[in-house]
Amino acid sequence: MMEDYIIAAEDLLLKYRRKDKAALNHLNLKLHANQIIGLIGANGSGKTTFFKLCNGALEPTEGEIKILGGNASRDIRLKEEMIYSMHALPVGKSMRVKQVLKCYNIMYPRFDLEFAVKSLGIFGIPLKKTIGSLSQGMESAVHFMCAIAARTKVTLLDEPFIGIDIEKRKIAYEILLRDYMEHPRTFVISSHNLAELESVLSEMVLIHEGNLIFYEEMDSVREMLFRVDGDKDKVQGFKNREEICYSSDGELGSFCIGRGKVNCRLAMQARQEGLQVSPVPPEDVCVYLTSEGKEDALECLWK
Amino acid sequence: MKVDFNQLVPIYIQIADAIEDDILAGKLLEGDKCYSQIVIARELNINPATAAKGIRLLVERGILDKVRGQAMTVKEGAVEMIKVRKVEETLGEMINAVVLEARKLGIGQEELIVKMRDCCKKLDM
Repeated sequence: MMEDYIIAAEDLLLKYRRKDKAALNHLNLKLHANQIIGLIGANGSGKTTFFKLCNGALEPTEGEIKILGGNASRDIRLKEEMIYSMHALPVGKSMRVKQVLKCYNIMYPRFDLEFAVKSLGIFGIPLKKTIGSLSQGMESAVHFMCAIAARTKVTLLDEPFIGIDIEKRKIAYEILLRDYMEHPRTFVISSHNLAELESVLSEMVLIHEGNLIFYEEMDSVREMLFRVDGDKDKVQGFKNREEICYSSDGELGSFCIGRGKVNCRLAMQARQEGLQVSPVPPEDVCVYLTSEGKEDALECLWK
Repeated sequence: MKVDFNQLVPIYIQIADAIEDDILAGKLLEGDKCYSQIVIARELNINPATAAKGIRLLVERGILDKVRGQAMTVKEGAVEMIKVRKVEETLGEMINAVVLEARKLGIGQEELIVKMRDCCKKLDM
């Protein structure tokens, strides 16, 4: 059982204060082992809350969450098997990078110090610099590389690439993938840059306002929705079908978004009627499945 | 081999198609070992699960075969099978698109056929 699901949340509810809206709303989610899983959601959707419940920094209001079959806040053994890392960790600003590496080395038994030192060299980060003197991107890179070098069974990365420039981000993705292939283990990564990260991921979780929208293989997400473009009159005919989850009318044309592959029956029917059918990329899938049809909301700004 | 992350065709299908193109081009011969999942993942910087899915698709299409615990091998008759499928699917879809575009422009059947013939001539077919 432990091999199948590395993280298992059951009816997980978290409220920061008793009267607050739930940050996580009775979440049921079982994550497969040895995958690189993207945790995607808008600001305030519950990503960080989920991570904090995983590593035991928060106790659930109701329900439970198990990591490697155990409970992170009670099971001390899990501290060595799991790492939670974000772009900035509460370490002293006067600490040198070298000292930070030493701390990681003490905390995580499989930490590969040589790997960490070499990879920071690739990122051009001098070991004798203090954390306070690093740019935000460099600080992110230090914590990211240390989380990789820790080689824990579960690696939770909360917005690890914030502030890192595009060239170094690409290096970071490559290091992540290669190290995963050399040492297969489970990664859960939250990010707002799904377009960049999607080729690295094998699975993806989408949450919205504390609710699970889906947990799917990346390739299924690429085939989850299709888009139909064309004249208003023709598109209107499709709007009320139950597969349609979003629609928009404009002066230049109308479109609607439907559930299914680009070659599903409804999509084929649209094509037959001369409408344009195209697939929807994953980052847009997230938008369409979580938006509440507030497309004209901006208009009030310039009235 | 090239995959285009901006293209909306799923990456695993692009991988399968790219391998088929290499087989058609003679870069991979029938009986040859196919590129491994790890090589594809490493060189294209994609998740190995996606690479594996591309290979699996070719097994389903009957192009690749696992020879006794060894690497995936290009099956005998693969070239012919790829051609048959591509004529039906890929070429079929392209012709479909051409016909739809012609209809949009008000070009009739006869005129379209003449244009196709001219194009064949131009390209020495």
